[in-house]
Amino acid sequence: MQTKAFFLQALTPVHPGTGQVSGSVIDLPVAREAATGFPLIPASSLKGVLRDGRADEAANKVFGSLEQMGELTLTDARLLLLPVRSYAGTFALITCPLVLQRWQRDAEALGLSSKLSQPSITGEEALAGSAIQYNNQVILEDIDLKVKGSSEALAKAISGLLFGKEEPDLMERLALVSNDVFSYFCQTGLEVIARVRLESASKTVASGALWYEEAIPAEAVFSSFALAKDAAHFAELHRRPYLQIGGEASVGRGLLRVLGGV
Amino acid sequence: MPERVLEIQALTPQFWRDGRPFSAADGTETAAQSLPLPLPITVAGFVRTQIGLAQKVNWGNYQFLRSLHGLPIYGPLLARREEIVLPAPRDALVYQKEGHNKIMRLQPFRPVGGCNLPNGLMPLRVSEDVKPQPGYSLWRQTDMEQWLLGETTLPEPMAGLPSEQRIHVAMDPSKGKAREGQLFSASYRALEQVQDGQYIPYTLRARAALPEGHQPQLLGFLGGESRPVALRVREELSRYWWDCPKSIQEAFAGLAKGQLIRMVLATPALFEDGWKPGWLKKPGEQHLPRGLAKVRLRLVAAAVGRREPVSGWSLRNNRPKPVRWMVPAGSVYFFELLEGDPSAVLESWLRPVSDSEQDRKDGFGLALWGVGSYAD
Repeated sequence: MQTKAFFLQALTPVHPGTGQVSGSVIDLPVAREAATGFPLIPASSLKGVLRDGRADEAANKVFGSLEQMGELTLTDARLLLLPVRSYAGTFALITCPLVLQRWQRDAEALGLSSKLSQPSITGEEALAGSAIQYNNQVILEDIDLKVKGSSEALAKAISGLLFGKEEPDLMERLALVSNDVFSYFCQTGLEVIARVRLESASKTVASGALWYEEAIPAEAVFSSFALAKDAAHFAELHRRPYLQIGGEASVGRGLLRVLGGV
Repeated sequence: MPERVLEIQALTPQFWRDGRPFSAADGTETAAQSLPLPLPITVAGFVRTQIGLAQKVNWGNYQFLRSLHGLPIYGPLLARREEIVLPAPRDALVYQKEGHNKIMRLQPFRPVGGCNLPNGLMPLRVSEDVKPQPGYSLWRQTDMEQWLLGETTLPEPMAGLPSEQRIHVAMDPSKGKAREGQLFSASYRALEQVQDGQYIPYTLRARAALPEGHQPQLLGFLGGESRPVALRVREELSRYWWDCPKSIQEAFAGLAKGQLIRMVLATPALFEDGWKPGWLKKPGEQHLPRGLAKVRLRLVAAAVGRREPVSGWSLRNNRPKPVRWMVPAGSVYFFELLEGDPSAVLESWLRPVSDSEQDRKDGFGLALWGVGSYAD
């Protein structure tokens, strides 16, 4: 079995919906993992988009049919980097030890040689890049974190996996925060968009036509793994320069580009 | 053939179907549920497939398939980090009283005036009319050991694996919307959990005697929807499995005739007589589960859960397997020792006690043994 790690970078906010009525103030929340509460793109969404409605023999071989199992398997795309508003540097790209630990564990299980360092961070401290530091603090939304050190080494490793080189934007903006802080922003720090539908004649909001929807912000990065009988099937990941995943496509949501090639 | 522990690590939430009809046809269910844990035969089939794949076998070779099918695979046990956790024993009842969780031990008793249970079976005494408290479906190995020794301590609360429901649609690419009638939901089981801010990974373990030099293929698909998992071979059996603790061996060494022995099922079992082990009526016969030919036991009472179905698809015969009814994991049997060395039953510690040899090879009915007593 051949394996490959790849990444998806959100070019616009992504809305992988839950398909269920929400009990909260947000009418259309994004899908989250039951175990951690982190947002995710289910593998089934990713696979459907990559297949793109093709049902010819070649597509059936790679993606499967009712008679035959597909030869390409994808794992759920899990959140790796989440953009959060920062007092300095506009926004930070945050990650946490749990995210890195899970990625490393899965990469090892799949026999991949890539290594991400596993620095630890707890409480209200952070390892941070230069652009997001202010007075030895990282101020994310309403949370102030004390800078414990530089995130340079980690940024270098992640940047290498994603871009194959040092990407200045990531090098400057990466912050490693504690699992609890990351979890807090996964619950409360996503984009919430209020939408209305107008009556075409009067140009006023139609009665009952106000709803709130949630989206994972642009610049977020997801990590996923692909398994295939034949490494040639991995070319499917790069067939198009970008993918559209999740709901609200006609209002520009869910454009992502595929990165990485470990 | 040395026995080794095989450890299964999930790479995505898993989908272990409960076997209810589920398809796009009209009138069938549109929601598929996952079992709390995979069936023993699912894990056995997976491991055998991985061994076959590693050997690059011809899957059309009937002889080879038969020999692969005969390979005993004992599992699955769930491991929480590195510790084995087991389905709660059904002779334990956790309930709430005055704001505190308490535990009640259900024990056999002789009702005044008798009762109408067959063959001298006794009912179990429920000392208080209470409602079971949820959240205790899995027990830690250490709590289980205490319980098997007859101690009545409240276990650490542990619910099952988190369930994750996902709604699926089939998209019509020409219209960019969902296809009519193609909406369905499936619930998955995540082998991880965050509890009180702590991340807890789970793995599944199985014990197998692999032929020397044979390694299974390390990546594969377990259960439905081809959800990927990684398989690891753990060489040290005593470290990654749960050997019979010394305390239980000592307790069994001191047992006399007429005293009670408890058998707790760690995986679901298949018996000839439905809920009742068929080997009870064949003392001393050959081909019984390990150690059980050396003792004579009388069934006194049982705490058995509701029957559960097992079926599947036979790839060898290319047709569905008949539905059979399993005794669920956690079921408890109380036996009176009539004859023999009680320690002999410990040879079946976490080994299968189902009646048919093939069911045993598939891992149905891994047993834990403990001491028991009457309520009066």
